[in-house]
Amino acid sequence: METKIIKIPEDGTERVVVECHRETPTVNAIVRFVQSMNRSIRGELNESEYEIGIQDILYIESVDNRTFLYTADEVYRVRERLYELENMLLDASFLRISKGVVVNLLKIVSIKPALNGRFAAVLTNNEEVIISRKYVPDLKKKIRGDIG
Amino acid sequence: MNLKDFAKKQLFDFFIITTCVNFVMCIMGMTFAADTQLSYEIMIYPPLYGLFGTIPSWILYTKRELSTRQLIIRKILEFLCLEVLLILLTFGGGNLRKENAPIIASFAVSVLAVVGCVNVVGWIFNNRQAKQLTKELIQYQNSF
Repeated sequence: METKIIKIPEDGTERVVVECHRETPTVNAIVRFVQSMNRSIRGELNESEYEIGIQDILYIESVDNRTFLYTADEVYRVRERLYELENMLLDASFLRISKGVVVNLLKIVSIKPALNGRFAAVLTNNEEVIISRKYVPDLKKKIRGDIG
Repeated sequence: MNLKDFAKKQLFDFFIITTCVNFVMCIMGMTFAADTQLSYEIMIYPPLYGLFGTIPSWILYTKRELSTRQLIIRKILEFLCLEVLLILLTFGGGNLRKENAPIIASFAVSVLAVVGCVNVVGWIFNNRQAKQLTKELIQYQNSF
């Protein structure tokens, strides 16, 4: 697929146009990705609130009924519950990989074996998060394009 | 891990243990009782040890997710139970005596070797699956 960037004046509205013969899964993935770039989640850090673009999120974790959002540099507290964020990000590149973690699949560098048949996802900041065996079939479906 | 996955893992471990026990019995037999003549009955022992060897793994079974720390503790407990169970099973009928200490110690080390083998084989399978998942994940990432 040919790509082209056209620079426009500062007062113009930025937009992405996909010209295609038909809507294929790849085209839909591009559209979903572009749409997801505009989304953000409100997080709290040091009593200040921030809008965190979902493309900057590494993973979201639930600990003792509190939800935390991890970027490369910071950890934010968010109001939403993990399942709410999971549903919100279902059409993006996010997936639940254990009972308490939803990960951004675009931030995983590699997957390696962990203790007792589990897997560990190595993230771009070298942090590792555990993938439970229970969620491996969902991971396979997601990366093979069978779901969301 | 759900019960179905756990049962599959148990079956997988059973066959690896049975194979490893065959080798261990062969090595220990040749070391400690090379001249002993055995009957066909001996062939039942490897699968029997395989069966008993998988019983302590139930310590690891739980529907909730275990932390790495909890898992390590349960793994150690599983190993200790396995050693006690298999030593009692093998030497329990009056052979648990001081003069048998060298053979019991060798047996305990053999159990450790078999546990090590089971974990290494399991790790090799998981590593292969992890590499495949990484490959597919990179393809997925490249589609964006």
